[in-house]
Amino acid sequence: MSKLDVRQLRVAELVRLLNSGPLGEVAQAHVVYRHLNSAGYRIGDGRKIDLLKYVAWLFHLRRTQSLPPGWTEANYEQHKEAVNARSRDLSESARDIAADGWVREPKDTERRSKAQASFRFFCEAYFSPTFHLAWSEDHLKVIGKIERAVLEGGLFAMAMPRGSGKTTLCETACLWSLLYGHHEFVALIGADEEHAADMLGSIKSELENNDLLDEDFSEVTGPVRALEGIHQRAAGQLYRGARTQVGWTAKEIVLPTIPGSVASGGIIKVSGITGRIRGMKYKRSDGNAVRPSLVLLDDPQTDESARSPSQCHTREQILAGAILGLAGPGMKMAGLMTLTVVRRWPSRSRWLVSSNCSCNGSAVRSRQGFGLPWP
Amino acid sequence: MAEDSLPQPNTGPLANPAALSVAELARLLSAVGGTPVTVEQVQADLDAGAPVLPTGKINLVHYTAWLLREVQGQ
Repeated sequence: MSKLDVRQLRVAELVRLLNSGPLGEVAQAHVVYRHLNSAGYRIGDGRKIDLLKYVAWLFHLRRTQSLPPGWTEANYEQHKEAVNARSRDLSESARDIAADGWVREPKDTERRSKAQASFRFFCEAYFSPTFHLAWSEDHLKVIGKIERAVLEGGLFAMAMPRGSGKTTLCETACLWSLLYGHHEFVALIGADEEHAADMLGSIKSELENNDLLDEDFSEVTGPVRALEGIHQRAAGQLYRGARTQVGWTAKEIVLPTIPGSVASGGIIKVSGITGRIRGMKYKRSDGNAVRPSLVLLDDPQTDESARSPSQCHTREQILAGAILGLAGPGMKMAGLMTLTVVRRWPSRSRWLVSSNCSCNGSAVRSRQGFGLPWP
Repeated sequence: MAEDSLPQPNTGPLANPAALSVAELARLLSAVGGTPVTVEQVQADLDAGAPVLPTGKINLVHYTAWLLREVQGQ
C-alpha cells in the first residue's frame, strides 16, 4: 500500500481509510462530499481533505449539533457554567440550616440552668415521660453517684435489680454530661456490641424526637433533626456557612459544632466490653485527638459470662486495664458502672470496694425488688 | 496511512497519530480547529464510547471514524 498523506486525502482515500478501522463502514463518499462542501476550505483545499482539520471540524460539528437552536458552543459553555453556579448556590443554601429555624434560643432558660448541676432535675425536666413515677431511695442514691462521677470525677459502681432503669439512667447521664459540656467525650460500654448499639440507638432517638430537649437545647437537637433521618446529610451540613461537623454513625455520635454551644463537638462512643476499647479516641478535623474523660458501663455482664469464672476474670481485667486507661497516660478517668448481680462474683466486689484498689472506687448495692419508680 | 509523525502546527512535540494521549489529542484539536478544546471535552467523548486502544491511547483515524458516525447519527 502506498503511503498516504493524511493532510491531502482524496475523498475516496479518506472513505477507505475511515472504513478500515474497528468500527467498520462508517463513511460514505456522498456524506464526505457534503461535508467538504459544507466546511469549504476549513477542512482542505476544496478538492482534497486534511484529516487533522477534518477531525477538528467534526469534533465541533458534533457539539454544535447537540446544542439547542440558536446557541453557539461558546455561549452554551457560559450558560452551562451559570447554571452550574446557580445549582451550587442552591445546594449550599439547602445544606445551610441557619435560615430554617432549627437552632433557636432556649425556651426556658431557668429550667436549663437549674438542670446544669442537678442530674435529678435534668431527668425530671427533660425525660418526664420516662421517669414519670416518684424516685425510690435507692434511685436517688444512684442519681447522686452519677452526679458526683460526672461533676467531680471518681469511680462508682451500683448493683441494681433488673428492670430498675440502669440503662436509661446511663443513657441520660451521657446526654447530661455532653449537653452542658461537663465532659467532651463519653464512652458508653455495654455487655456486648449489640447492647452498646441499642444504647446508642436510644440516645439518638432522644436527640431526634425528645421535644422537651429540643425546646432548650435546639443548638444540639436542631441540626440532628435537620438531617431528617438522612444521615448522609451529616457530612455536608452547614450552619451560617460553616460545617457543623455532626457525626451520626452506628458506633458514635458527634454533636454539632454551633457557635456559642458548650456541647459543640461532644462525642459519645459505644462499645461492648469485649470489643475494641483500648486506645479509644476521636480525631477532630483540626487534627487534635481526644480521649474519653467519662466512662459509663452498663451491666458489663451477660448471663452467660456471669456463669463463667474465666469470663468474669477477663472482664475484670478489661475493667482494670483498658477501660480505666481510656483517658490516656496520666489522665484521670471518671467512671460509673451499673450492674446486676447474676451470681456471686467475689473478685468483682473486691475490685470495686477494696480500699487497696488502685481505682479507689466505691460501690452501692440496692435491694432486690425495692419499689421501682417506673414499670 | 502514513505512520510517520504528523506535522502539528503549534501542538508541541510531534506525536504519533496512531496512539495519542488525551492531552495530545486536545492540543491537536485546539491547534488545528482554532478553538480551545479541553482534556475534559475529549475525555467526555471517550466516556461516550469513542474507541480507545488497549494502551489507553487514541488512534486519530479511529476517532475520526467515530465522530463521523456520531454526527450522522444525530
